[in-house]
Amino acid sequence: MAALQNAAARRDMTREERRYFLRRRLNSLLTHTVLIFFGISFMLPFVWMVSSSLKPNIDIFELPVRLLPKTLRLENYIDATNAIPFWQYLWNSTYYTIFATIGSVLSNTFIAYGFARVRWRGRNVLFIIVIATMMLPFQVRMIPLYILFARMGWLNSFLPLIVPNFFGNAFYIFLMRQFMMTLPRELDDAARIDGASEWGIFWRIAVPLSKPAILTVAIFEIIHTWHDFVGPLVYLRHPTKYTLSIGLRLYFTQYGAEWGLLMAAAAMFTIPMVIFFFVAQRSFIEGITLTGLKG
Amino acid sequence: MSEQEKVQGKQLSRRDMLKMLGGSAAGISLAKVAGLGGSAAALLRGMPAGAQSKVEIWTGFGQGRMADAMQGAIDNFAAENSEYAPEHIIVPWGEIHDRVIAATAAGSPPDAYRGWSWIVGDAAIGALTNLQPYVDAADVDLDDFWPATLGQMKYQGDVHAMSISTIVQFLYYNKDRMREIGLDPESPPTTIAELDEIGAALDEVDDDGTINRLGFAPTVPAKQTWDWGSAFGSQYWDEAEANIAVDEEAMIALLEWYKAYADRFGAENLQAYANTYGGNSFGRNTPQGIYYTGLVTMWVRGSWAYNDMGEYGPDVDFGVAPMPQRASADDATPGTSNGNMYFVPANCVNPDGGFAFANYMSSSPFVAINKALPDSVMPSRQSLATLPEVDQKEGGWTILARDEILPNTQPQPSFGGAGFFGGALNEGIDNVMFNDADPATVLADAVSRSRREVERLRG
Amino acid sequence: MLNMLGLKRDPAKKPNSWRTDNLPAWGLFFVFPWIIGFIAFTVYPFFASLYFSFTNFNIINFTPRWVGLDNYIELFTADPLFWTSISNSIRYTALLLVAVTIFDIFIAYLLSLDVKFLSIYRTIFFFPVLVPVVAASLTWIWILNPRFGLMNGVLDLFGIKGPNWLASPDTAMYSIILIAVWGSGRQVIVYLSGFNDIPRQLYEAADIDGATGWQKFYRITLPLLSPQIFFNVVTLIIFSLQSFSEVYIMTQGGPANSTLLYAVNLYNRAFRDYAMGYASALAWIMFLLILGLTLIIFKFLSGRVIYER
Repeated sequence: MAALQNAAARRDMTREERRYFLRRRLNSLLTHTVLIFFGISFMLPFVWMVSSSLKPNIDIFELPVRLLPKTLRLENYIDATNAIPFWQYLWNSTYYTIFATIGSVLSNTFIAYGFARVRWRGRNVLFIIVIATMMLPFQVRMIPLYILFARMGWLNSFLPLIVPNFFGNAFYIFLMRQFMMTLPRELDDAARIDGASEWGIFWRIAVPLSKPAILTVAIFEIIHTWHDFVGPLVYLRHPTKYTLSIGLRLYFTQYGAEWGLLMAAAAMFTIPMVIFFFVAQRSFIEGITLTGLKG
Repeated sequence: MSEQEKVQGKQLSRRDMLKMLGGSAAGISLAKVAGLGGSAAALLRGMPAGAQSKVEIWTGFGQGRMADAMQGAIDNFAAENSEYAPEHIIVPWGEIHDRVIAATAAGSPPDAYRGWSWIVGDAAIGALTNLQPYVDAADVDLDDFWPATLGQMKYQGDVHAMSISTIVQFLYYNKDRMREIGLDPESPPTTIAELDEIGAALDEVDDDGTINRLGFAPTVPAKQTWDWGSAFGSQYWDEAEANIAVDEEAMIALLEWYKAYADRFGAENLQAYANTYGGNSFGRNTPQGIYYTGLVTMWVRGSWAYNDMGEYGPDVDFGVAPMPQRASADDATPGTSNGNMYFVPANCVNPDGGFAFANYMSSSPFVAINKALPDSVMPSRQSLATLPEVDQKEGGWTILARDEILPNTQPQPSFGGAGFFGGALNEGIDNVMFNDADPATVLADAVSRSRREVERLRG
Repeated sequence: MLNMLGLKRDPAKKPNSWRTDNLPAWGLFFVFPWIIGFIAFTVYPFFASLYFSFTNFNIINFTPRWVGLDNYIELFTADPLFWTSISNSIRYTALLLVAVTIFDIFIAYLLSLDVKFLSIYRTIFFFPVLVPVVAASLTWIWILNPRFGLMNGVLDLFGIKGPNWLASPDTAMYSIILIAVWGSGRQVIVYLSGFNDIPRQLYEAADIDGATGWQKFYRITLPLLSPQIFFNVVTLIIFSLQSFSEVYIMTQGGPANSTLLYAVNLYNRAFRDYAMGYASALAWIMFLLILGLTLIIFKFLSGRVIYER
């Protein structure tokens, strides 16, 4: 396109062609203007979060509103970690995230293989049931599970949040199954001729080839558990077990006007996800694209 | 997470982990790794006789002078009672009740926790340990408590809570602001009409409705519904019927009063003003709070806010007075009284330790002087509330609270369902203020729903 | 629907060519963890919840007392919050659906135009997804602060007096929707992948035929984007009817119940008022509502979705 626009080419253009290119450039300008406008709007909340986190409280309540801090107060970050047991909550969030992710990756890979690559009677009926469970709202399960976990004495631990991950999740099963269906069946057949067992095919062929889907599930689960608010709210009942989600909200209910500290804590809660995103950016986008599956 | 569990976690190599977690046995293995089940915790706590037994205590005292005072009280308890090893866990006030209830349901509540009189209603759902046998065994002199507070400690005749202090409400007012507009700072309003009038003279509102400064508004920082209802002359409970009953005339007048403020300022402008400075926590713990900077001239809060003024607004010249009351109401009171209580949840591991701590907190002169007074609350026992240290307290707030306000107050509701009723009334006030709902309808609805709730809780 | 799930059989194959050359044992072996989980975490709660909805019990005392249809009768006849919350949730879902779908398709469309710096833009629109809901909600409360918040500060630059946002029943719901649109980056990515899959030749052919921009959008883009629209619409409906966290953190349903969503009311009844039986009845109504709406969407939309290219 750039080549077409050089001076030599332009001389040969007819009026219509010139108008056409002019319109394209105008369109492109317009597109960028709109995108930049919305892009800035989308980023402003972060700027505000970080900038407020650096403001002394006296500058927070100041008019007119300033986007950037007048004076920097880095101590907000230290104060925020002292006002709540921040490091303990951080560790709890990490702990929950790690085990929930391990559980999800193991169980869903395993289960999806059964739905995607093994042929057996009743498979499709069962799979429709898997999909149907997606429609059952969390709220229906919340109360009976609360009672179940309470009776098992689990409510003081992370078990109610972690253990269910080891038994599959409809959405992840669906996602991984769709992916595994696309793997060439010839590989299985060849392995079978070589005398590989079903387990061998799963472990040596399906798992290595499904890496992108496994990664996607891991990424989704990491985001989900790190963000999770309802689960910990309902099932974590001991203050020493709170995750950052719960801890931060409690902090807000107690110290509602300390916006500098609150924003510092919010920023520290967000940063691990941002780092994670930049490390795994490609898989992120691929993973989400994978969920908008066609046919 | 205990130290021991952390070490266990580290020792597992990644391969071990994967091996262990394979297949559906994973959940069970994980249960072992996490090892945090209630029964395990209970085992750890169930120490052999003779050793110290752990007493787990939850409070919301997490910051500043009150956290220090709490720690001091706990240390002193431990020093005086060598058989108990107290462990203090901080849960923000706004959540402490919900968390304890849930932990009680889960079978792992604390052994004692700090709450308020309305929580006594939890006895209706079996969430509290009946302390009457403990009180009898320890020979506690119940008549020493303020009668109103003792009433709140009891559920169906049995003691279910030990009160450490009794809160009454103050009208706080900024004398500097009153001087600025030429009012006598030594004669604060005593009736609702005066309060409205003086407040209106102090408001500073932009043409577009933005509130810059507020004389007074009954929703900033909180509605204080029980207190204003009492100041308007209503009761809340009918003993004979054993259910909710209000003085309709007084309550409708109350709702109309809130509505008048909504009409004057715009309900959302008031809400925005309160939100700006931290909503219900109203910037209590920051020098930028609205009361320390003169942004609000008059407000009603418990006596516990008194020492905040000294800590965060040392330069503000402020005064305290009893709550204004409706002149036309015979039964009007200067707000309600409310006990700060220690509760021992049902099914806790160490109820003996829990009661020992609760009883210590309510009876120790050390606590009264070093904990209640720094919190600016009146000890609940008359013998402690008449100590010379109380009489000598600067500012005269102790005398005002003890001799002028407390004897005239109505106890805040503490029946099963009181929390629900309070919520329903607040919802009704919102509905009147924001949606122009009819006060009589709103009141009838809140009362009928809450009566049903009282019956539901009764089972 | 079978098509979407990839269950549609190849018409070339006869049904009985579906060989069971492996014993079902292997299939069940792999699916076994799911079956256990399904029974423990879905079937049991499903029926338990149904049973609880006909009983009355509180959180401490787990012995449900049978009350028949009382909870349902009370819910429909004597609980104003039920109707408030159900209409709030439906309004929220409908508005969010329209806002997110139009905005995200628009942004994805712009991104699909071979723009420079695509990856930067894409990252920006995806970024809000990374912010934990609690952190995002607290940040937004502060942004929407009527007096000292960024939003009204910016509006002030243009001489506009901003609204009271979360503090007013008139604007609180829109504020929440605005925040949800900000956080809908996943959908943008899904739509973008849809746009990128549409063959360029189709547009070129349409150009030759002299089609207008609108015609191209209506005849080519929309039908070929229909799988993504379908997917996003269905998931959005299911999720927004269950929406809880943002509202619970930001407004607790206020002011004056203007943002009291169904799930928030349900949580309050269960874990604030300890009316577990009643809350179970609420949960069941919610389930039926979601089921009904999803079925309607399936019936209405799935016929119009084009999967073959």
